[in-house]
Amino acid sequence: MSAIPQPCQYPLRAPEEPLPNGRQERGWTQLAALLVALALIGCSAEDPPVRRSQTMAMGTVVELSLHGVDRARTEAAQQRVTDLLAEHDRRYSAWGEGRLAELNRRLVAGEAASVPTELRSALRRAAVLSADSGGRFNPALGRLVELWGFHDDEPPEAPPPRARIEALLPAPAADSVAPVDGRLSPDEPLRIDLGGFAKGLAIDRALAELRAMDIDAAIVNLGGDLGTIGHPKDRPWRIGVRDPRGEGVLASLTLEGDEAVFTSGDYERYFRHEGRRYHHILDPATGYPARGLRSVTVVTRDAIRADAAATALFVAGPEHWRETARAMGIRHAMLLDSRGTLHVTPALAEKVRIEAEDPPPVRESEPLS
Amino acid sequence: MTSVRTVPWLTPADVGVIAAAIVTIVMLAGRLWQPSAAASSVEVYQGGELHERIALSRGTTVRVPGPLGTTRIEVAEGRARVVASPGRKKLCVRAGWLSASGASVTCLPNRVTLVLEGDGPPRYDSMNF
Repeated sequence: MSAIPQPCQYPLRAPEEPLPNGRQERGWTQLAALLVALALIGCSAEDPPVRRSQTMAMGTVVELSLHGVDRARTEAAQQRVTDLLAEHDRRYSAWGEGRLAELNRRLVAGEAASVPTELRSALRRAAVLSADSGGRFNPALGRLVELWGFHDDEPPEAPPPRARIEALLPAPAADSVAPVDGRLSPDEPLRIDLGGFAKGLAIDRALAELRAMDIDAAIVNLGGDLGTIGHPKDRPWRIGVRDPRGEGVLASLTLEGDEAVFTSGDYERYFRHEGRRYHHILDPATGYPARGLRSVTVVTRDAIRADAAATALFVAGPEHWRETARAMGIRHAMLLDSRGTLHVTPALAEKVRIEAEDPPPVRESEPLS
Repeated sequence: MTSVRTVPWLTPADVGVIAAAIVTIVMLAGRLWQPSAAASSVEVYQGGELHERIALSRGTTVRVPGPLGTTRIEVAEGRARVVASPGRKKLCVRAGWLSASGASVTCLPNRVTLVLEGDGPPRYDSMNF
């Protein structure tokens, strides 16, 4: 009889009978190796490479984060977005030599004017968003912005005289920027300023450009406001929200893809005069900087709406931000009030995590829908 | 000779090995499948162009020239921060120390940006402010 066990002749051992030593040790080793191998296979499922690039456009830093895109396409994408944003700035800047600035020169003189074709859609959209916000986002505030001086590179040092502010009130209505038969015929001098809307428009166009290049996971960050396409493999995007009170990160957001995050805050552009802070987010009703909130963060799928809503909710303040959010279809919002309390809507509470080492008091608001 | 067909049972030693392997997997998951919180380097950009990449393990001060003057950056103990930069509001200075991968800060007047990078997925893919 052969010494080598033959198939079907090898007895399966009873529980109490140990295998010959060599076979028993190989069994343990094989099992452990199998389990560790499974772990390593899981480990090899890495994120695709992140290619991050920076450029300057529209007076600020533009950061592109592209996932799973090779170097050549990344460079091509950066170039196309940079070119697009430069053209966007030329078109929509309220001052300078662009198309909107040229239109404004006629409107501020009280003249009727034909609206260039490439501006009409944006102006109609701005008028609709303004109406949705109850006028709290107002694209017709250019003369007030100019009076305060926030359009200059260097911020002002003192507020304008009250009489000059009041002379510009009431602010022009939202529909004064909506072309009728391709023309605007203002009843009074008018300067259109799309500052509370133009970034959203730019990000929306940049995202469309990237989608057209078949890029399916990306972030376009324009001076801190951002829009996303898709999400990285097997995980959501993770966005850090800077603490408006000063140092570090206030909170992190998880985004499932195709969402925009916009923040309006009193720390972005401001000056101090006689112990009081004056920031750039003007309340169309008073002509003065809106009071009551330090920052508003809005998350929604439409970058243009997110931009206008962040401004509108800030202007609405602690008393009226909820009704404004409902009217604009915003469910995901986070607000830091002037007393330092963080208000978070229930919908956004599912996506947010407080990261601050010295966290503010947090209050979950009632649902917005 | 008649084969004795019995079901092999796990011995206590078998159970111990399996338990150890599961613990190993859980520990690996904790390290390898979660976002990497700590950064290992900082990239400094000037005007959108990469100016310098510095390991966070290297304690140093970097001076970056820009259109308004010099932005001074300190790197120490796995962190980086802007110490001084031209501009009135000093927002980038007030942001303080950065340590998580993906965290970033921009000194807009002088066009200088810091971005922290690390091995593995970043803690933050982008910063909103």
